[in-house]
Amino acid sequence: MQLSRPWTVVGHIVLLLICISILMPMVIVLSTAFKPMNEVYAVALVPQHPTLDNFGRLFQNTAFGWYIWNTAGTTVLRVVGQLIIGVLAAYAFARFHFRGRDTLFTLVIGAMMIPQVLTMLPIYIMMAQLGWFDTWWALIIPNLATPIAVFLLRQHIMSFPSELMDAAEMDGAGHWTALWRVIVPNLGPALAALTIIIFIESWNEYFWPLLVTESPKSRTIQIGLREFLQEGMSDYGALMAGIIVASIPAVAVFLFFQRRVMDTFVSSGLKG
Amino acid sequence: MVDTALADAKAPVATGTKLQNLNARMTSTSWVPWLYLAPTLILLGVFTYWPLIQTAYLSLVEWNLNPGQTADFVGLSNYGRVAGGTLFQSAFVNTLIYIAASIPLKVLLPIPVAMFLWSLGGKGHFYRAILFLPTLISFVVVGVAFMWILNPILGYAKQYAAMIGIHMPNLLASPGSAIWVIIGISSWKVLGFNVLLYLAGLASINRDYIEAMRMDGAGDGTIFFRLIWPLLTPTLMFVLISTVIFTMQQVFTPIDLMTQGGPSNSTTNLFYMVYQYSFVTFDVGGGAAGTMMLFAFLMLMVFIQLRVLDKRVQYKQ
Amino acid sequence: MFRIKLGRIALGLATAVLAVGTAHADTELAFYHYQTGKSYEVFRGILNEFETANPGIKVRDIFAQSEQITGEVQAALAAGRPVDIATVIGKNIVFFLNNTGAVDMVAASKGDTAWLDGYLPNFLDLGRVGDAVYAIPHAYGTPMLYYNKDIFTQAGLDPNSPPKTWEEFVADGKTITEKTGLPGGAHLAAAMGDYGTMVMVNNAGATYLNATGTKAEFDSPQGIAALQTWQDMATSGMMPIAGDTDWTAAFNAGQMGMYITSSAALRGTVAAADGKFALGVANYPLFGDHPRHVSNSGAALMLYAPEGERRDAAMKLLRFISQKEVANRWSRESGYMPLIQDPLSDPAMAAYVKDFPYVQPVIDQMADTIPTNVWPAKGTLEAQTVIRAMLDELWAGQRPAAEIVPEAVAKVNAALAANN
Repeated sequence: MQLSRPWTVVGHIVLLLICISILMPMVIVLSTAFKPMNEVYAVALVPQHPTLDNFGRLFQNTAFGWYIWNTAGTTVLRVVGQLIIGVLAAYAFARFHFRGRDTLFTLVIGAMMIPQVLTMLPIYIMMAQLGWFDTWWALIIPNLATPIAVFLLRQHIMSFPSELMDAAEMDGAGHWTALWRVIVPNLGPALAALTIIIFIESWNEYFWPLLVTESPKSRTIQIGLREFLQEGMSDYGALMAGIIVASIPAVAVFLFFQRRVMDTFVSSGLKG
Repeated sequence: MVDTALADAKAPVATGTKLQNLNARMTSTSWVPWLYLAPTLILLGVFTYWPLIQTAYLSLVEWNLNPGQTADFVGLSNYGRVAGGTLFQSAFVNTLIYIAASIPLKVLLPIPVAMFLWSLGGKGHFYRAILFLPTLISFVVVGVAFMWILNPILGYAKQYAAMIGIHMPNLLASPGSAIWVIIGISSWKVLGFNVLLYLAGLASINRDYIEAMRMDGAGDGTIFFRLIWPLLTPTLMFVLISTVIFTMQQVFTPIDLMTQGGPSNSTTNLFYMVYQYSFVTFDVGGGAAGTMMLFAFLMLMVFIQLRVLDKRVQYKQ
Repeated sequence: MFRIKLGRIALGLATAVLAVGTAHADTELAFYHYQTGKSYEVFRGILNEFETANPGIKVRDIFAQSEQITGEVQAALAAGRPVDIATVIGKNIVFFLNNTGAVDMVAASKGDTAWLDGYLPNFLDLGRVGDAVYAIPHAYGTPMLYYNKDIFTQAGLDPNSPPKTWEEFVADGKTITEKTGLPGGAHLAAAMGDYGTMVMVNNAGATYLNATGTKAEFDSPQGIAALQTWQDMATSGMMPIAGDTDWTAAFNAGQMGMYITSSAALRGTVAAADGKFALGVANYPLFGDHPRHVSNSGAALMLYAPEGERRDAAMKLLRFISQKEVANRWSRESGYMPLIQDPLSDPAMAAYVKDFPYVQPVIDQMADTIPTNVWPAKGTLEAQTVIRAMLDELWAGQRPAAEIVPEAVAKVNAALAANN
């Protein structure tokens, strides 16, 4: 739909303002991270003597290397786990009739509405009793069920044209084969979008890891940032460096999957 | 995209003998779907629903989870204690403010932005990428960055304002303005994501219909209200409900980093209050009671929205 | 037959090996703390020394930030995870006593309590209940006046003559702001404004909370006068309305004239000032003609190890760190206050003070330290929230302290009433 000229101009202006407001803080963070200690409080955006010292201090004063490893490892496992479990559940809801299906689906979606904090203390105790404290298990397992993945994938599967299902059926394929050989390959854009969402959620998670981890063995990047905050409160340069290190992977993953995500959001999936 | 979850959720039944056979097979093998669903159901049962029940129990007893002590049933006294405090009153009022303020900023504002981007088509690529950037970074990152920029003594905001001759007061220290700073920051973070959700909703609109309406002489306004708005309402409802549910969690980190609920309890909310009860003072009874009240509040909000909006959502295309 | 015999022998051997193996397994202690940076290095160093001197005992140190450690320790106890020694923030000791199963160290000493005698009596009183001792001092701080000598000079004040009374403090602060445009000074608030208010009013001769912590009593004239001073600091413009993090950052960046905060920050401040500005450290200002009474901040250690090997090992560790030499070394290198009686009689300590004169005022102030007020078991979050809000209102300066404070005290007492 084309907008009339004046509106288009207004639109561009508004969006440029929004983009500036988004980019400005990021530029400030970037510039501070590369400034030496004596320039940190100066207003100039471009450091006179750019330096990597802040990053050096960051890695020296905390176990940031460990944190990156923990965060990366648990995130990858979570993405894979959540996608698989989500696909299975979505398939069941989309392709089967069974008693209680609708109620169960409502319950699954309803779980999205129970914010994590409401259930934290009992799960915390559970983690301790299971001996999962301060391990990757505690970071991964409680998060493996993903109502939003079930929801999204079910939508997509239900919108597949019947010819696709016919094709699978005619080859005499059972459900398992049909799922992995035919359906999943066609879920590409949705899976890509979910990967990004789950990745971001896991990478940026702060509260839960704070509770269940206590040593560099399993602590994550966001906690490392917070620790550094408490420790080096006056060291804003290194703090900004830490922010950048904590954010790079998410940005990288995004740029990698970007085309597919944007397409999912903007295109119409498999609908004609 | 979003309508079916909230409305009738039956899968489309296609016709054709082969599929009738398939359907027959699908209905008769009763245990196969359960196998597929098992991981999800078990995980949600163990890690979401069971703890909720435990929390309900903890809210009715006086017990700090100390293995050496017994749990005394105290009925609603924990609820009374929490709800009677001044902290609760402020938290409740602020929660309403957070939600009310979030609606125009996070639910309505993205709509014209999404409309504009939709009209640009592929040329909006640059804008979309930048809009999405805040989604990629964590709330801790956002909190720290803004804490630095808004630092009342040495921060950039103050210095830039000074350069143009304005003395910027410490916005985070004034009860009137602190909450707006927090709301602003959380809106900054989620705007892009919501714009994309709306774009997805708009994408399902068939442009042929628009052309048809134009040829009938319809103006922009008519096209918008007759065609686009009704189709956008499912997405709107989704964004509205998730904003209401998640707004409190979204502001948690900025509050924790910058104001800890102050000044004068002006930035705390029910969620942060529950956090303080449960994890700062480890008042388990109080925390559990606060949790159940928060849960009831959220359910009420969702219920109201579903009721009110259900009547206005249309699915016709 | 032969097989069965072989089986029995094998089983017997296995059991024997297992028994021997278990008997030789190390006893592992879990020690919860909030030390970071240099303090952590010193802390871990002491633990390593203990391990070397006691083969068969391993000490696992578990870190939680000071705001979280209260919750962490309790959650760990609740979940049945091993907790042997826990760092407990002083004001929460009563709460822990009521809600957790802390072990009486006198009883656990089995008669040999000499190790407790080295501690300063008024510090030990904090953890004493009758004849039992549940908490020993560990990481205590006392509030000191840090000031920037360069800014003093700039403002025309004598850099070697820091303010001795509150009147002088406020006057100097105003002078600094007028003459240099920089903030004059601030006083730490601490979490929920609790410790800051406690120190202010106790020093002025008022009583913050009663002995059991069930009633706030600082709406006396002295308490109101002390808090009025705090309001004057804000309204006169010498104190930027912000928080401890911002004030610390500003002072360490050489952008604020004075800052009253814990002695625990001494090392960090000295390091921050190095090469930037000339630092001065003075005693907490006096209020009128009242003698100096400053509540200590910081944390004590409480014992949770279950009876048996772990408790014996934990007691050994506690005895180890209570030794004069070790305790003094801990204080010296971490920057926390000395806890042992007569610290300067230790030659290492005396030499340290000579090399690091900043710590002299801290030692001088030890005699003026009174035990921190303790909070009771119920209603603390509500009460502390009121105190936090009271400070915000004071600094906003719309109403005088004489109106704000009594209201706040009434609300605090309403919240604490749950304990009666």
